[in-house]
Amino acid sequence: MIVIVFFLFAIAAGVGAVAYAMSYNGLVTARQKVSDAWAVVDAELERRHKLIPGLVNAIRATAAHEQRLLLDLIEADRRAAATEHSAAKRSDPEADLEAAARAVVALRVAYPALNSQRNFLELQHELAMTEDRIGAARRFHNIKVAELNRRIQAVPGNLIAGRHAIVQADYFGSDSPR
Amino acid sequence: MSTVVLYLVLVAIAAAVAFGVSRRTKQQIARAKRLAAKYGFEVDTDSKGPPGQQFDQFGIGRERTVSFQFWRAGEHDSVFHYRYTTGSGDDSTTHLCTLALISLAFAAPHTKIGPEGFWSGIRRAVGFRDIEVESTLFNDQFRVTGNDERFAVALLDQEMLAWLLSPDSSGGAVKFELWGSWLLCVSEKLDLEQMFGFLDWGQSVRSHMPGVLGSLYPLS
Repeated sequence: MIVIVFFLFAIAAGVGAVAYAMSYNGLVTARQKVSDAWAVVDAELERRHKLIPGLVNAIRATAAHEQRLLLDLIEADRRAAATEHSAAKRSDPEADLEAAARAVVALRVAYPALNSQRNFLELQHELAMTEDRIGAARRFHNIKVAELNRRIQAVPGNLIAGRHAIVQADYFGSDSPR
Repeated sequence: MSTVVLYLVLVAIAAAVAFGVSRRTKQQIARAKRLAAKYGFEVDTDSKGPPGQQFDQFGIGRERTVSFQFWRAGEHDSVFHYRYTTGSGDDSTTHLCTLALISLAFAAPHTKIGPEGFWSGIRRAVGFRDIEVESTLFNDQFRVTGNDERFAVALLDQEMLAWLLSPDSSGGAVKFELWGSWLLCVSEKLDLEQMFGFLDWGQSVRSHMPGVLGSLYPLS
């Protein structure tokens, strides 16, 4: 009888250990996917930052009177670039930069001469494409964050995550699924 | 004597069946040519093997045959009947479907989108998840599998999700497979006259796809 109880206990312990390991591995994998997804977002944000100086120069040549908008853009770019590279910290500065860049690109309505500037048109196209790339990377990142957070909140992830300091991740941007 | 009569009857029946089939095939071919002319399409009525694209669909079963292929002059997109056989002996089944083969402006990793089935629903319920997006409604209705999750998520943006969930998208009756610069739309077998609309519909799927894919997955 004791042998049978011991045997059942050993099987239960083995199953528990395997379940624990699987859940832990799942959490680690999910956390790694969030990290990878953020790296792509970060690269796309960097791509946008590199376009800003060229955009400022292109506008300055034609619409020199719009100093305030250009200074806003330069300041938003500087502030975003100086912010820590994390989803939580960069959401607001990058949104400000996006808005400032949109405002500057919209100057083509008031200054039709911009529409004949090849350099400006190329930058505008590149900026629009980069915004789309950021949007796609952000969606993927936020989906991976949602998956990680769901695992951490659900059983047995909630029992394991705390023990191994696996914490919920932050969404990037305002259109995040919660 | 009676054996000879029986033999003659059998030969007569076989000849009648062969004649009937031949006549029906000729009528079908004539109709296909008439419809192609009516709608401004080219047509190849010959039966042949599947196209060279490496879709899973073209690897299923045996005796895989393409017939009645229609396309517009100067375009690569086409629509055709497709037939293949699975199983063997008494269990063998011949499957008939209509496929639209649509060219894409980007290089898609292998991806499949189809309706969520009973078994895939069970798999999801016990925690085995395929590619999922932020729309629970979409995840419940569709199953997405593929080599590159990032591509699938980029493909299924808000507009594409809204379209796939709308009545215009066929409600899961059509399955999609993307690979390289091609999209394959798989429907149950359609009448010849419906095939032209199916090709147009397949081409409209392309217009719902996000333009950013051309930048993220450029054609080499």
